[in-house]
Amino acid sequence: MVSHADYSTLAEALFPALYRVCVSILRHPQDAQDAAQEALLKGWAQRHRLREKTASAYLMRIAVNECRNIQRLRMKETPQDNLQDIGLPQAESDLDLRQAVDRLPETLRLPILLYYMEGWTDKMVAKALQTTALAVRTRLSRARKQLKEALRQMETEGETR
Amino acid sequence: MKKTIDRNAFGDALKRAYPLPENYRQGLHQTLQAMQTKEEPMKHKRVLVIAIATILALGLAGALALSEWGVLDFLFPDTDRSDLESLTQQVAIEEKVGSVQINVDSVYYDGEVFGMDWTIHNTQPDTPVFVHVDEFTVSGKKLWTDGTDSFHAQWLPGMFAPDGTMQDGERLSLPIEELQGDRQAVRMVIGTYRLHQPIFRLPNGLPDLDELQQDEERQQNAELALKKMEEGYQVLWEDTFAVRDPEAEYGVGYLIGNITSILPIEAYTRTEIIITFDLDLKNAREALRHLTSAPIYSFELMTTQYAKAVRTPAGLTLILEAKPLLGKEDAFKTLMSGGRWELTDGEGKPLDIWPDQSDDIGLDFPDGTSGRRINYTISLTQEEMPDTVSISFLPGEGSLLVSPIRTR
Repeated sequence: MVSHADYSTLAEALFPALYRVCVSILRHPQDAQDAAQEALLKGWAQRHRLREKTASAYLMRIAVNECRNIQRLRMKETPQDNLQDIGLPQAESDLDLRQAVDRLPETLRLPILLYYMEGWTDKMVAKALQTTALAVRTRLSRARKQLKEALRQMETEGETR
Repeated sequence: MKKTIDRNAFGDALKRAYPLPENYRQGLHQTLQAMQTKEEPMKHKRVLVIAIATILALGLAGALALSEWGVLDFLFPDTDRSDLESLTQQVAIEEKVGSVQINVDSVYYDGEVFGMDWTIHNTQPDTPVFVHVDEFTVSGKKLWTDGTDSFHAQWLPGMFAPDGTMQDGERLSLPIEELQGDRQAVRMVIGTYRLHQPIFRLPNGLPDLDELQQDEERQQNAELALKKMEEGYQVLWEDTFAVRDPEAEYGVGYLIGNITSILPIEAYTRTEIIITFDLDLKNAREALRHLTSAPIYSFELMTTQYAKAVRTPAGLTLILEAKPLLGKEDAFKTLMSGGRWELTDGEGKPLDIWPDQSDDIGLDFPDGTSGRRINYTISLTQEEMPDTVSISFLPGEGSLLVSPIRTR
């Protein structure tokens, strides 16, 4: 069974990814932090299930489930365009990207975040999201297309303003 | 020429787009400290035990070792619950049809929870077979499993069982008040489904290629898949059956999931394994205790009442209903959305217990008000059992709302 020291190392490395995925689902920094922390606690409680190669994906799956619990408990789903007070980036280009990613449906958004932002393999993403690697690759392809289109539209809107 | 995304640069841009909060390290360290205080392993809902490495390494010896694993190990993997032996029944079932063998050694029933563990073995792992529980009844009452690793559909070999052996179990809610008499006939009809067509496996996985190379590889795989399909093969891509799909990116799609949705059922040869045994309820019925609580707990915006509170030798099952007071429905809704339900002791101190199952669902009362129904099933040894427990509400502001009930 994984030791506390090993688990702490894993938790330190994984926490930013857990937080970012949770905030992309919950749109609320405190809720996201709560979900990420709860995922780590639950992961620790179930540490006998952790395997070295899949631990990150397993914890990410717990975090996504935790987000669902929070959404259900709080009975609130922040509208997509309600972007105040959610820990937004400083630079305008980053903000555009954030808004474009946030507009993606969750099935496309989470693979993009895990694959590109966290550098996970398609197989790891698939394990975390309980789907197949092939589905992940298809979703990434669709997400890229939609992102490009969204960013192009934002650029056009910016020019016409 | 197709444009590719620089994965690292795009990843960095995404990280800037999703900045981390300044205090995140503090929260993380608090969490890590909290773990250290939880020295006792906590309980969990269900566990998937797949001793792949052991089986692979030990071969037959591994298989023998597996048989020593029992239903109590599955249900309570971190705790010695030999005190619950009286609630287990040895059924020692071994059924084999074709290349699929199923063993069910023992089952468990405590009046609330039905558990069983099993081993399924595909003796021809080069030929995948789906094992699917087509029917699972207790005296005619249908039982449904939960969880993604359910026995209801196992593919052998699959990603968790590359050698074709899967050891797992199932934990089901089966309240004794819904059953009559001291014996129940359990019947499981297990369908095994093997494809008529030979199988062609596409090369697995995309190594760490850049995006353009990945696209090329995908294209090549898709062309190969279509060719092999024309030659009469069923094409497997990782754990996925490929199918012709003109709308998919390369003309090849995939389907996986429910056995009957993967391909038309005509594509399989179905054989059937039937398992039957009698479940003895007598010990569970004698051991179960109903707890008595105050009829109704009154608070400013709501009342609460235990719809069910029972203690089994394995733990507790509590169902609490929270009903808003007339005219306070909106305030109740606001209260609920700002807080959460927690399992505490009778004085409101949180219990460091992982529930086997917990739900919080909406509930419509006959008078038209809408409240909540909170359900907890927890495993506790006699020593761990607190004198009083409560499903308590922790509001966003204000004090904890406690509905204490004695356990002894």
